[in-house]
Amino acid sequence: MNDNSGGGIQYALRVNDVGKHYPSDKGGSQGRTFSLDGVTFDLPMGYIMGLIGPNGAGKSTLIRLLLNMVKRDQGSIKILGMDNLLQEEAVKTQLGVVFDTSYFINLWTVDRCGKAMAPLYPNWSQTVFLDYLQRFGLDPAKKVKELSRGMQMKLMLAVALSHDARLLVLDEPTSGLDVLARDELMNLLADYIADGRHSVLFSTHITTDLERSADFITYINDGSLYYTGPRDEFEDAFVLLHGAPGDVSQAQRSLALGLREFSTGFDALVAVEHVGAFLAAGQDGPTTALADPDRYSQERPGFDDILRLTARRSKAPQGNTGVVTAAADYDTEVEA
Amino acid sequence: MNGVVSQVRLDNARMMSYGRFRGNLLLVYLAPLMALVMGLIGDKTEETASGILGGICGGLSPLTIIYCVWPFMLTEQYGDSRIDGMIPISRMQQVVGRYIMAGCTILADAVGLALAVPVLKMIGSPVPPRLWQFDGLLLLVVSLLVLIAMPFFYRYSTMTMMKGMAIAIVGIAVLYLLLSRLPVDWMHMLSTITAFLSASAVRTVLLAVPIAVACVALSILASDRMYGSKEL
Repeated sequence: MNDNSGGGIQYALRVNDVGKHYPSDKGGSQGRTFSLDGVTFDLPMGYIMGLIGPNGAGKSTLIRLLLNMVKRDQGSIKILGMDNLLQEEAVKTQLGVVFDTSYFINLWTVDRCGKAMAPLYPNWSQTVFLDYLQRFGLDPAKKVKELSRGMQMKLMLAVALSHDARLLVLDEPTSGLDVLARDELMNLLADYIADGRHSVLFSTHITTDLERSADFITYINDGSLYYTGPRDEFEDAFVLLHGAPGDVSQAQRSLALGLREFSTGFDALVAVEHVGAFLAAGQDGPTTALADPDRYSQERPGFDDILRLTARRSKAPQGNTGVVTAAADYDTEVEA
Repeated sequence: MNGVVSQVRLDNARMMSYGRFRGNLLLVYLAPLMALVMGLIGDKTEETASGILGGICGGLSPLTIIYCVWPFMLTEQYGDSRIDGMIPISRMQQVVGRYIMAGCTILADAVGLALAVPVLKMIGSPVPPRLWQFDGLLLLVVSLLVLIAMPFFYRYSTMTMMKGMAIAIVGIAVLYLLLSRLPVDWMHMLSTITAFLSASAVRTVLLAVPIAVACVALSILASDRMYGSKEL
């Protein structure tokens, strides 16, 4: 557990009511507009926060807003106690960033990458950089284009860690990496925050990464904040119910945060506080479900279940014989 | 100021992607090298020397313009515009740094052209008269084109810019045709202006330098405006 001393800074990141709107000509697929609406969350110093959501949820947009690569329409962002607009340069000297793909010129050698980045950061340590190169097995003479995807990620990480960045921001760093590489990265992040002076925000749609290392979760779906808070409470906030095909009443549908029906049954995601009402609202009346405890099976949902059941889906393709119907759109936010 | 210097160093690192001797240094040694080769092959007459230097200027000028906007092309080619968003350099400092880099590139061109003259003298070729005026005018034209183009490179892709420049060249040709129909001797007017500005060093400094500074400032402000609204 980190002592959260953080050098006097309590929060590594404070995002308050941040929003960004894209009109339909720039927005999501099929000409839809996309809006990141009123996102608010805090990352305490000395912890790891996972930013999760399905593809197109707005995770990368949010990260770009943090870095001021995109202008926000509303809200405020404080990074390490500083405003990310008014004190942009001071903020970025203390940020380490890793993207899903390399941002270096492909013709640069590994060594050249370090030399190019070193003058940009007052706290750059060439010794630390070379140590990380050795630790990650990166040949300084190799060109970026000759590195595998995992090695390119490690190079970005080596650069990010070589100037004593207080906050690491990683945008889907594990996509395309194998299990070993992902495990190595998670171990590294755990070591990074161990002293309580550093924090990590990483976005991912690979939920096993979160289970491994995240202390906090912020879940964004279709531009809206669904949940922000401790990871344990996120999973404990829901119950996953399974039932027979067609055995779900209209009242139960309205209580479910997400519902998927299959030819073999249904999966329903229900907030913990609504489980009793869900069971009582069975098709045969209020008492039947309670009288038959085996009618619905319950389990603690994993991240994948929560994402799967709360993500908005497009219609099933023509000719699909599977009976998969999306639930009605629910905008219910889960209180942290 | 640190941010501006950092940006210059970053752009220099970008331009050295293809090797140290293919960056701005190429402009410095290419002109004397061309003068040596062409001077040794051709006659040692003033006419030939004029042709050689005209050829060198004609070849180096487009290369200089391309080198000035090369950081944009490299960024676009390798998709590293995200680096511009994550580094601790404000957008204005990035713009100023890139303009300084472009200035260094034009300076390299000027140095190269200047070095071509002693090379011609060394091999026994006469130096054409009014050479410095011609070089100065050419560098001025190159600088103006770069100042006009750079703000647009902050906003549009290289392909769009190439299309735009092709249209602009056609437009300039059309404009030239139209202007040539008017009862005004434009070339004489241009020569008169150039001669007036370069008649004495004091006059050049007092008149041309403020105009140049104003042009550069306007271009930088336009670039900052374009770049400031761009999403990286």
